[in-house]
Amino acid sequence: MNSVARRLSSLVRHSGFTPEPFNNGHHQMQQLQQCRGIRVKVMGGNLEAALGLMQRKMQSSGIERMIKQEQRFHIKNSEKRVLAQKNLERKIRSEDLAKKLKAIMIKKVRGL
Amino acid sequence: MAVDLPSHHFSRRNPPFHSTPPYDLAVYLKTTNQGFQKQPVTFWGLRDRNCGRIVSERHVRGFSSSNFDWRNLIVNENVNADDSMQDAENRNSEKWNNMRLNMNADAKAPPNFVQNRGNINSRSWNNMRQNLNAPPNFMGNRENINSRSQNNLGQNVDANADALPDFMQDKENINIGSKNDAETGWNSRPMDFVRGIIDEDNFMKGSPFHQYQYEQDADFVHIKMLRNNTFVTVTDSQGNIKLSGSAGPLKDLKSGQKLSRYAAEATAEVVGRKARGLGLKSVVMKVNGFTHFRRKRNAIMSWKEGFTAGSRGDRNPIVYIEDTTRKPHNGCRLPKKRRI
Repeated sequence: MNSVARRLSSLVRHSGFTPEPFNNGHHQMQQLQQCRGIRVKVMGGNLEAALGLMQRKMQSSGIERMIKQEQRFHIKNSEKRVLAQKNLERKIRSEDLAKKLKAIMIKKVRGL
Repeated sequence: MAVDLPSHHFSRRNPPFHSTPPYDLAVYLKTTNQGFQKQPVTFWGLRDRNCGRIVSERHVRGFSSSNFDWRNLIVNENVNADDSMQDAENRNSEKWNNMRLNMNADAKAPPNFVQNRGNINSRSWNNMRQNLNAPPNFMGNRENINSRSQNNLGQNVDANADALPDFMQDKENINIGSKNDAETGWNSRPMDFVRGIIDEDNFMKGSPFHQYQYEQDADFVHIKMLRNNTFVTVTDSQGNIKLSGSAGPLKDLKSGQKLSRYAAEATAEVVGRKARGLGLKSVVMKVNGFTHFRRKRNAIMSWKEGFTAGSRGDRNPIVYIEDTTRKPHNGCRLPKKRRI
């Protein structure tokens, strides 16, 4: 069945599968596997277009966001609670500051 | 004077103390005793072969004492009036039995004193019989008689219609059967597997599509980008490494921020320049690293520039770009934060 699927996938121009070498102990067998990660084909040797497409795919998939939020060290649960409380206080403070600024701007605009 | 041998063949399978009453046991012991008296030299030679070493005087004394004890047990004659002498003889006999048991190391041996001796006698008798088979003397007739009884025993025990009339050949048949079973059991699976593979290969050979073959034989360029280091490896479609490089051997880079910032680009360019001589026709770029896409883009472009440097009209060998970065879903515990 794998061989049939491999031949059929070769017919399709854009296939989501990729032939991966798979060592089965006795001999090397070609086995189809779902492509891991993001895969982009370079059409006509145009590398710039392929790289742009890959960037868009990565941003839409959310991997970029995960990279930004990377956590390198272990944090204890108690420390997580403290950090969450601090973030909440910071958020409340910023909202209050925004309200004050908004009120001041309204006063200036009305000329009171 | 001819010795009347018992009709039963005493061996490990049919020990005398299990199948025959004590009356027959006594008769058997008498006959074996007479046999020993008639041919002592042959028995000693056999015993040497069995034990594999020289017999000392103590063993000889012990053996004789054991014979004496047999007479005492069978005939029920009070030869020794003194109790001290009987104790000494018992001690010797105990040593003898212990030694025999240690040599034989038979787990099936029962703890009884007389039964152990029965085992010993039966074994030695068997050995004598086998040795007597060699010359075609008057003893040959006895061997024939014994062989008949053996045949009967073999048939009764094995219950196999195809068994040959000899006892030893029955054993050989059993061994051959086990070997056949082992061979068939072990060899059938690989053969079936091999046939499956051959069929698949034959099916694969008939594929007329060349594009699939072209894409299948593409080489891989693995770029592994870590925080402070970068590894670039060129392999063929089967995963065998052709060329590899890393940021360490580069001379122009220095330690600190510069290394970590430009390590990927520099390493990729160097490996691309080296890979120009490998004759790569189609390449699949596989980038792996938990880092921003800007660095990955720069690494891929650097590899291409290194590969196509010097020749302006060269074709771009890259046919696929893959990002194989993976992150575990709540994997192992991360390391502890560094104390600054």
